[in-house]
Amino acid sequence: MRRLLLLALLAPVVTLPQTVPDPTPGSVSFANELHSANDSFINAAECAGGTVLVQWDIENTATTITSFTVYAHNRTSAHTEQSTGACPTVDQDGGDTALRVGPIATFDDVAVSNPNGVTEPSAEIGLDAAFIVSVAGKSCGATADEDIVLCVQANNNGGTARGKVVLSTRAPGKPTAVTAGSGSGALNVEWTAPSGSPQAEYYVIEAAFDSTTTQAIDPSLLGTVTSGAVTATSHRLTGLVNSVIYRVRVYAFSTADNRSVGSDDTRGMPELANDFWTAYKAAGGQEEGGCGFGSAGAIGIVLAAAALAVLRRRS
Amino acid sequence: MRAVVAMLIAVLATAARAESGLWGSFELSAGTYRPDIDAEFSGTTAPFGGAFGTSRSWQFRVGASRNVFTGYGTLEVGVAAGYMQASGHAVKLDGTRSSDETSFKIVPTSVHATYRLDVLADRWGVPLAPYARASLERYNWWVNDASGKRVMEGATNGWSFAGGLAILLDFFDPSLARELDMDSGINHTYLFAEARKTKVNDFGSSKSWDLSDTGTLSYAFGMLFVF
Repeated sequence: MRRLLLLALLAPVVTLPQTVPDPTPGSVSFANELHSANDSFINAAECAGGTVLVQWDIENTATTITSFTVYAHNRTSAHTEQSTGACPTVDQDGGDTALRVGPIATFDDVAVSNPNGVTEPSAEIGLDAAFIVSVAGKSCGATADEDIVLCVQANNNGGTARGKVVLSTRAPGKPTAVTAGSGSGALNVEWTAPSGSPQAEYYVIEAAFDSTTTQAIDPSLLGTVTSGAVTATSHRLTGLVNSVIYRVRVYAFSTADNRSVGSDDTRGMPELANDFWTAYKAAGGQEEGGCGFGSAGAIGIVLAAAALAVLRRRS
Repeated sequence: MRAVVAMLIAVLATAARAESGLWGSFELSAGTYRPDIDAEFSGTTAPFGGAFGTSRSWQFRVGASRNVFTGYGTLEVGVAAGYMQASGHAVKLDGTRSSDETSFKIVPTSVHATYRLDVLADRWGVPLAPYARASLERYNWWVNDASGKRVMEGATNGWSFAGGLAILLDFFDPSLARELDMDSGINHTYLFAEARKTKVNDFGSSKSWDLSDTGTLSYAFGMLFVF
């Protein structure tokens, strides 16, 4: 029954797109942020009710592990992710007056939490991000990035694993000076990066239907088109419909995937346009493309053969 | 008087030094170019100008030649390749420019025969070498649309004749030229400028556009290394 309950708890977590990198022995690793391959964060969305995916690898595996307890604590000078020994379990443990610590969860069934055996990393476990933050004495409204340490204690043999996650809930400023130039089935969007901290790591461009200039288009068929992550400050947003006016908005994202408020709306309308070749052919151009050798190829061969003959005679 | 003596010594030193053997030459050149594609159309129709404007594009070339005659002057046969790119904007149906980009790129290749009258420096101390060149040209080209996709590609053949004047730089610093020969085998270094007449339209084919230069002549300059 307990296994079923734990499986039910983990089930939604398994469907998350993020993948936890393999932890090294003695460490806890966290799910990579969607667009930041090597950073581990609790961002604003996760702090507002999301889940942090973790995976651990207990260093001491001399004896069979029967259960784990995961603790969260703030990172102090005496207790870091580099610390050794048993996990601290109570506030001010060992005389560290700054330490705030508490248990997050206990996993009694190693067949679920560590299905590959004690010498292999655990399964990916989903932990309540907001709970981690509050246990470590932090707030989701923090005005600066805060370090939190997760310490996993093997309850019967003393082995531990530790890792650091950064509470980062601040978003970049909004992009400014957004322009949307007309392209063919596309808008060429440019903007100015926000200043200040945190910096924008990437951007997402959103184009929503505004109005249409022709009745031949059914507005109900037009959805909002969104780009993927863009690291430059310009992007050609494709998949749009010509002669439709779109409201364009750009969002900036921090390394921790915190989204800025949207830029001021700007409007743009894709219009059919011809690249050079299409324009050339539309004008009645006679070139047909392709790589014909024509008579030049034959002349070239004759010339090359003559040159070789001269060289041979000289030698 | 001292300057004349110094110049005479320099010329003699150039002539008297023990040069490495001559094999051929290598050259780098740059010039501007604009294909005459719009000449195909009458009136105001100008797809090339509409997309790329009126400016000329830079064209760069590298070439290598093998000498086949060195009796009086030098006759060489060789090959060359280059690169030219025009970047502009797609054109809307009303004729105005879209913000979508489009580009036209050419890799011109050629086989050529060059005669260079390079005896003037050795015999009369004149550091000049006029030359003439005949080439068969093959312009390999492609067009990209706004997404960077290649929408069409092809090759257009033709010919060109060029005449130019090369200045023998060895004349101005013979000791450096000698060191260069000893270190790298480069016997002579020239700075050259040339005028070229091209006709690249598949020899008048009715299925070809005209990639000849819009000007009566095109001009280029560069460096020539004889080794």
